[in-house]
Amino acid sequence: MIKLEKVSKTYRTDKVETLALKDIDLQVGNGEFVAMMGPSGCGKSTLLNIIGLLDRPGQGRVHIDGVPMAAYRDKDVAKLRNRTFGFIFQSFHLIPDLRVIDNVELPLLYRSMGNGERRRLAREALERVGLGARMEHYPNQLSGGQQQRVAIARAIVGRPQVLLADEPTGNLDSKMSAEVMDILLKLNSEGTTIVMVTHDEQEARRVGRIVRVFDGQLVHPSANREPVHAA
Amino acid sequence: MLRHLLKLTWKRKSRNLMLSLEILIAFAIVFGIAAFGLRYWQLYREPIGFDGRDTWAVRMKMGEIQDKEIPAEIYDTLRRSLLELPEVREVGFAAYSPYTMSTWTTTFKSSQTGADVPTHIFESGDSTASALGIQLVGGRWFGHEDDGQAAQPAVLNKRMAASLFPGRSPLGQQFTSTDKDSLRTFRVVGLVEDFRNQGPLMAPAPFVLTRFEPHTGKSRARVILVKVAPGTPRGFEVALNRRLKLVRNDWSYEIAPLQAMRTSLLKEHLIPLIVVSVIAAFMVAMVAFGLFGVLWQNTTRRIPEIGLRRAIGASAADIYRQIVAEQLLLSSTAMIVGLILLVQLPLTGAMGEALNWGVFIGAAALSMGAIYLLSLLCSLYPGWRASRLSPTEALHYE
Amino acid sequence: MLRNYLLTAWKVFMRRKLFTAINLVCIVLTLVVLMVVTALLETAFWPSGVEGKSERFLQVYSMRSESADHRTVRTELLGFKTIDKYLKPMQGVERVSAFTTPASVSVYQGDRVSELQMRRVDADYWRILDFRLLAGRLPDADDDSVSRFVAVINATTARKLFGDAAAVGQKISISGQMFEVIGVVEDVIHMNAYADVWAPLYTFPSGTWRDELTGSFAAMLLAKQPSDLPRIQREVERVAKTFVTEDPHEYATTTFWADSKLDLVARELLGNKERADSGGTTLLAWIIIAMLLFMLLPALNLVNLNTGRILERSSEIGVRKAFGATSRQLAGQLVVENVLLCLAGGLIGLACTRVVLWWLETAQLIPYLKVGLNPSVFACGMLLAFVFGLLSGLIPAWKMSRLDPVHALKGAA
Repeated sequence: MIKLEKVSKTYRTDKVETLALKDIDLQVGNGEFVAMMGPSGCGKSTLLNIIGLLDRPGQGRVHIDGVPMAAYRDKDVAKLRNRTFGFIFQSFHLIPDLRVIDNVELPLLYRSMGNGERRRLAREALERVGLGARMEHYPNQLSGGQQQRVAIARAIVGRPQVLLADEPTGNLDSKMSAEVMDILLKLNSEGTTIVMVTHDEQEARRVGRIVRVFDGQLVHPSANREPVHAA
Repeated sequence: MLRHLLKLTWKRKSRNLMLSLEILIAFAIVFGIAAFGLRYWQLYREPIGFDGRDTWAVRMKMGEIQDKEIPAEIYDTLRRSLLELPEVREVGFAAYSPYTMSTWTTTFKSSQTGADVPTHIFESGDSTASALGIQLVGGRWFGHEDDGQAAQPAVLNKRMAASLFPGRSPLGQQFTSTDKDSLRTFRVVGLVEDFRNQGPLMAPAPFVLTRFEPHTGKSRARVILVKVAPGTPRGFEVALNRRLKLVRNDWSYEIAPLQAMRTSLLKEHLIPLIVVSVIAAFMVAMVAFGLFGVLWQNTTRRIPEIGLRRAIGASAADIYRQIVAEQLLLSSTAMIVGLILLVQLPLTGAMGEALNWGVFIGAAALSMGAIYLLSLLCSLYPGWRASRLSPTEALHYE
Repeated sequence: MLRNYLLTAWKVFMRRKLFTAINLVCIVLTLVVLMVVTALLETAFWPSGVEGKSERFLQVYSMRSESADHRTVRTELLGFKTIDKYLKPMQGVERVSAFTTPASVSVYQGDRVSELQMRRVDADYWRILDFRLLAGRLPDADDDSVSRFVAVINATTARKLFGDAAAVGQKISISGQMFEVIGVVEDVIHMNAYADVWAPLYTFPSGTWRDELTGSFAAMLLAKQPSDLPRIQREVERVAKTFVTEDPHEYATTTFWADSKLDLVARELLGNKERADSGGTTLLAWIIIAMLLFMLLPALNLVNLNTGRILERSSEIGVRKAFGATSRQLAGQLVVENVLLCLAGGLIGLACTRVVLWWLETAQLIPYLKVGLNPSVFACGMLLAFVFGLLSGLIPAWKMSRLDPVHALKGAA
């Protein structure tokens, strides 16, 4: 459902131009679990941002469910980000002044919904990640793993089709990383498409498909043109 | 969304405390100025009790002589002499001129309640009502029928009538002075709506207008009120002065149209208001700068949060609205505290009539509007900058 | 080390230009207001110009008479007889001048009427005050001996009445009396000198002024040296006790005070007419407190902004601390940055103050105002800026020095 055609992205800072991505052709099908790997600075985070519509490509086209994104204005893109995508970041990005439950229901605030409905969905999402008991706590009262689980709950509360995770286990130890991966695999088995950027080779092997990025380009491009259905 | 913003603002209240304090101070300052201005406007619209448009005041400078050294006949001579001038329509005499900072007060005893009532007084002659354009709403002005009476005639304003004779018509009633040595009795012959000698910005006060009659009384008037034909030029003063000098050359005369005196008195009254407004404008400008700076800083500090919200699906417009709404919310809480404190003033009557409910509500509305406008303006630029942030930059902000 | 501080400060300011600009505007605005007020106060009270001898003269401006039972009180200006009988004979005083307060008079030129402020003054008046003569001469003993009706006018009045023609020698009618203009002096606004027209005492329309105990007069007493002033003040207080009003039954006791200019204003504002202590020092204290309060709001702003800036730089601070910087050094750096900013604001403020003062002079809101920025006001202004910078830098500096480096490096402050 996500299709990138000849996408390129250049960053301009002061007088230096950096070519972050070059001629990327990529397709991700419904229900896939894709891991993106590559050394630091190779552009995989940039690629994730473009897939998640956080950034626009310099050249090339992005299609979501067959609809080209070039024509979309900021308001429509925001709506897509709200309903179709869910984000999980390496540094969690929880709002420290809000309780866990308020953090989780954040995406729902940008949809018209009753307060009671929001609360219900947020509670459900927290149950799904196993943190039902920690609803009234503040983020700084939780461990790293728990905070990331809250971030996952926030990402899934709106029942998005696609989850985009940027090194979700980067700040966690092995035990917590395993917890988080279990949750992600469970979600994928329930039908959510997941695109994950990771450093960890072992982790990557647990998922359906690996896309390797090097110097802004895909490695083995031919293997990535066709989607692979999850086992 | 509102509840969400409230939760955020409440949790961050300690950080926002100093800012709220500044907003509170600015609100109080603007409220003070607005109340001052509104009260003056309220007073300005009330009647002053006389029409001095074509009247000139002549202050007779006789040196420091006592009343008994001024002959009684001089007044008739002055009147006759001035009426000969073609521009003069009427000539009256008074103890002091309207539109000066003069205040004459005394205390009278009410025959009905027995209480001592402090009041302002204005002593003037029989022809002064028409010279000054005093409008009566009941009874009559002084005249020859009051000669030789035991009780002296008096005209009251409605405020004094209500204090001396509550619930009754004052006409025909009597009251007395409170001097222990020489008790004088007065009888009410007329009623005016109000009398405010210092002009439209004077606070309303009880007033008793008493009769000046040089042949039967011991007091002497030192001001002549001359009603002239409409459109008389200022140069008429030369002829007027010359005529007066013919009567008494050893006196000097300070002549001015009441209109001119009114304008300069109004200016004098407004000067403190203007000075305070300038200082207040400065203070509010300071608060505006502080608000802008702190808002700017807060927005910068919250860039990762803004990036997150954008990633979750907030549009640029949503971010903009959020920043502005948070600021308006903060201002609202500060102003509510301010209003709670300020409403004590009219409730307890601490400022008397000056801060009545009309003035309070008007001033509150004006100052709330001003502070909201200020908050809006100060949050426009930071909000715009925040909404312009690209989500990727925001999320990776260092 | 100082050079290091200066360089860092400059870099910090340039990094956040908008903040620096906002801070600067706040500081400039505050300092301009404070310096304008200081300049005006200095013009009013410091001996200079017309009242250049004011450090060794006193003035008596009102007398207060009270009845024996304290129920009736009367406050009036002096009459000529009071000055003549009680003040002129005093020992150890170089000169005593009797002069009136300005009164509004009408000047008739054909059909044209102009309203002017007029004083009637004696010969000693011209000797105590230093008027600058622009044309003609001042009244002298010869005019006195023949009671000539002469008048001195100021430059603006000369222009108003006669345009570009010479004013000296012209005749004017003041309230019906004819005067000859003999001199033109510079415009002045000072307390005892302000007027448009000056005429000798004998030109009063009636001769009763000589015998009046109360009237429209004030007195100036010129001492030989400034150190004589306290003695003269005590002497005047004693003389007042011997004063007898024209109606001793009605008014049993009278007091009047010989005051310096500051004391006079204090007495008027604070209503201290009964005691020797006019409250002059109290007034000065109030003025200084008001100025400090005035600085409070902008100082609060600066503190707020500086605190925010520290939190921004928390990682930089953490790094410095991790590499051995002491709290005192860091705090010192912040205070130096702040003081530098305030001094820069002070210099800009000075330039703006000049502009504001120039505008005040031209707009003539206060007539005949001439106020300048002399070195003492400049020094005052820079001192204010320095104090301001110090005060508003201390709280954030203290907060910053308590930052835990570990937390600072993590970025969560």
